[in-house]
Amino acid sequence: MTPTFRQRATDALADKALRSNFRGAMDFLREKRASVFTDERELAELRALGHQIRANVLSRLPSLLEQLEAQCQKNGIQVHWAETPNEACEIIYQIMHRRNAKLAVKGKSMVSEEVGLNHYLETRGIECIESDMGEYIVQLAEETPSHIIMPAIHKSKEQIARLFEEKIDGVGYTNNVDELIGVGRTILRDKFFKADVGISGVNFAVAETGTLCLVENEGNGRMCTTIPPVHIAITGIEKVVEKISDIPPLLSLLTRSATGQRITTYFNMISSPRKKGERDGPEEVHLVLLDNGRSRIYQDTHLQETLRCIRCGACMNHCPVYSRIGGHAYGTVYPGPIGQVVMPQIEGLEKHGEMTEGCSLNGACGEVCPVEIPLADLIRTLRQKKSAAAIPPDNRAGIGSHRKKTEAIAWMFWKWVHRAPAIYLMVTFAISRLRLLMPRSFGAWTRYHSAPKPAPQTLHELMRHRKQATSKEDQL
Amino acid sequence: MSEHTPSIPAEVYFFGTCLIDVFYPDAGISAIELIEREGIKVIFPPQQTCCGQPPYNSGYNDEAIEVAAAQIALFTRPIPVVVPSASCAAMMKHHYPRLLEGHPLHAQALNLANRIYEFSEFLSNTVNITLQDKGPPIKIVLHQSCSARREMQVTTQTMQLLHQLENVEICEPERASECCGFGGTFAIKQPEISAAMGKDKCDAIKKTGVLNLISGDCGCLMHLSGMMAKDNAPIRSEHIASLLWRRTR
Amino acid sequence: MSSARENILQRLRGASKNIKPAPIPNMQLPAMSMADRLTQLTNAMQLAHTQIIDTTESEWPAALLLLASEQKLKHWLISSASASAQKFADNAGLCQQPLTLTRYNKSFALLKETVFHQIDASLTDTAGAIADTGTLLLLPSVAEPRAMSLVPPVHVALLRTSTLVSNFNELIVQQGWPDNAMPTNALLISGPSKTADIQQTLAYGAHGPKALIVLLIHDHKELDRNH
Ligand code: SF4
Repeated sequence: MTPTFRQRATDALADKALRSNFRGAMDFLREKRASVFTDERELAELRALGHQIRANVLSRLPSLLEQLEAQCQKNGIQVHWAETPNEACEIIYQIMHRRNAKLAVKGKSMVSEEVGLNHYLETRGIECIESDMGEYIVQLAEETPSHIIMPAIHKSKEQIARLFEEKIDGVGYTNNVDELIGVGRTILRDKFFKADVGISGVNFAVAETGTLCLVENEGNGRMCTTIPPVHIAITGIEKVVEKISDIPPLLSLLTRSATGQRITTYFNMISSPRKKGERDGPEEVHLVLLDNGRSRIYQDTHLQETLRCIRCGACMNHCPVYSRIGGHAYGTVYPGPIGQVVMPQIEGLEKHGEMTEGCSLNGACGEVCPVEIPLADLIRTLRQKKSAAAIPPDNRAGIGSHRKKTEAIAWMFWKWVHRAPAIYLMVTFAISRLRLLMPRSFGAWTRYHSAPKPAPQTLHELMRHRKQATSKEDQL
Repeated sequence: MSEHTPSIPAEVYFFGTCLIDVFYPDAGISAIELIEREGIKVIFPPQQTCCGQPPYNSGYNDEAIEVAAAQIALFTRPIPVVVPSASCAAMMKHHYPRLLEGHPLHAQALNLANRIYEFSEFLSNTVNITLQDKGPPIKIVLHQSCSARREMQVTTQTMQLLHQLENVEICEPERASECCGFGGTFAIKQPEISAAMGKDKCDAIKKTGVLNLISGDCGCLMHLSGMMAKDNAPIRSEHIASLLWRRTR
Repeated sequence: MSSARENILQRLRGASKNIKPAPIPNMQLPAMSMADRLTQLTNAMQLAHTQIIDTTESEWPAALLLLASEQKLKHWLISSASASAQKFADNAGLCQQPLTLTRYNKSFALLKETVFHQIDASLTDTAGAIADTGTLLLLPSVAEPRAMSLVPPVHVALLRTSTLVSNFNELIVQQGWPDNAMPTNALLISGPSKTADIQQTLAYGAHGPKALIVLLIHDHKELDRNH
């Protein structure tokens, strides 16, 4: 049986090295973000702008997707649609198969993780190398990313040094970061040189111009989209943006929120394959548009806010839970607050409902989200759906799949007590009178806390006495 | 955030919250004394129970709605409702209107939402209270809850009150704005994570060397003081209303 | 067309009627004076480890030769047709050390080996720059292909101050996008390639150039200078 979220989280909490790697990284990223958002008013205006741009995209999503498709095709970019992860993988495999491709290099793409592309290609004899340094490290370690922006954030440089020493021929132990990056550079340059296909994600796809925008620092994204003869971009259908003039505020929000950079080293705008006469760039560019549950999310006007996300990762960086348990404890491709909102929606509440419990609803995520997604509210809504009593006929979403009898009865009992003042007064009176007899142990609570001690008299009683006293005074 | 109201009301409602009712009634009385000292009549509807947050945050909306509706029916006159807890205030101000959408009491919920004031916010903004510190010098750590920071945005008002107390020195622990891990039913459902967050918060508080912990939210206080007590840490925790009343009466 | 497309669009169309677009709030970014633009550009570039060499239209070839000899950059990749490349080629003989210049005049497949394994540095023009973030705009072309600013370990870019704008919005206006069609590839470059993927430690030269050097040609008009 796979461990539950709570079990994984508990294990992660006990892992001292992991705790300190995450604590250090999160403190660093929070500080970096704060250092580029010093003007609170500008930040508020920019977030409102980002929110509205993304909301307007959603309001016209189907027609913008059609426009994007038409513009891309006009530019010579081939557009493919995939409803499921399997369809997306198959589309990509077929493109590669047709070109007789054996080696692919991949830039950072969470959507490719979402569809399980590496595995799919591997089982069909195609090697797919991750070229983002963090992703490369994670692939070498046979792990998955623990963060959507910094995939190897769970590892210290010493752990990476040991990994390189163990897995790469001819590399000795060094914890010098420049040397480690140098090793990666050398190995991956060779792969870029040889690769048949480059795969990338997309940060923004501009409908007006048919332009695919990629944000990165390393240059591996440019390598993947420039050097191999074929470029395949894969993205979720929500990544479309209406106009090129919408890009500056979104880019600024993305890079500043993600890593505290005013801009990344590269902002790569691709609008067509190599044109006649041009000397480099891919001969073919493909865009795979993935649904995978997004159109279902889109049906609900409240949950639809999920789709504004620009995948900056700020919500996880500021999440006090993620900061302590790390990305792997969630057991999903997208971790942290946005993961808790996305995963149960795309893969169903039955499978991922439990992760919505890993949230204190403190709201730090929504406070930093560059497009003002009310993540805590969405998490609360998903909790409600997973525990709902009424189950719809077509229940792929897993409505009510986590409803537990005991919990439902407990809340029913709670309701009876709290909606009827007379019962409430009786119960609270009893608690205050029996305070000395209170059990020393309340399950989970007293494992970490001393038992709470009720006051000898409730506020209700004290107020009653007060009233009697004043009315007596009045009579005198 | 509420605007500065032009005139000080003659009467207010007081919503005591269930935690204060059972565990911290002294904080409730102190809050009421402070308001009354300003010449404002405090009405405490005796039928009040709980704002409904626990089932609401657990996804049991039907149960939350019934209890919320019962509260809404108690606070109908057009006067402010003072709530000595930012998280309960946020429930009534921000979440009731959403929770009761389509419910016959929706209009009343909206009306109530506009009259909700967190306790510090009310004293500082609405009453514009002047406080005279009569107590000996002490140092405190102020824990501002996540609801106070984000949903109610009343941290400056709380600070404004405490700054008036001459002999009180406020110390800020490391990562002050990070959640303490209480989160209501979260502490019961995910006790390991909650405790890990709580432990970090307790450690940060202990590191300041200060022995008085103050907060405007009794949930956080119960969580933190419960963890401290389990550890035999000699820290005394108190709701801000108790501190203000104790030192200015 | 594929049924996936129809299914997806149909589901979206079914729901999108409920949602109305709202006006996008207007956020005016201040335009900077030329002096401010230059200061901001310099600051931002230096923060990002971009080296700047201030020079003029007539002096930049000499500055470039000095750079080449100082940094021992012997083998250069240059444009097949640009005026700057020609100017560099005309002056190359004056360099303290012998220089090899490779013109990017064939298809990538034929030059790949050289570009990846033999080049020390490349020289490109730029189409403009953003002061706010210290960002160069490159519009690779037939004469100046994409790999030039990507594969060589050192990238030297010529930037004329007259093309400098305050922010990204202004750059879009300057380029006339979208009325002017977007080029095959437009690049904003704000420093040498870098990564912080190992324990948040910054390292330069992850996959692209390890150094980005800007020859900043002060060619803006006096009028603008006193702005
Ligand atoms: S939800 Fe908001 S903060 Fe989180 S990744 Fe998406 S855009 Fe960023």
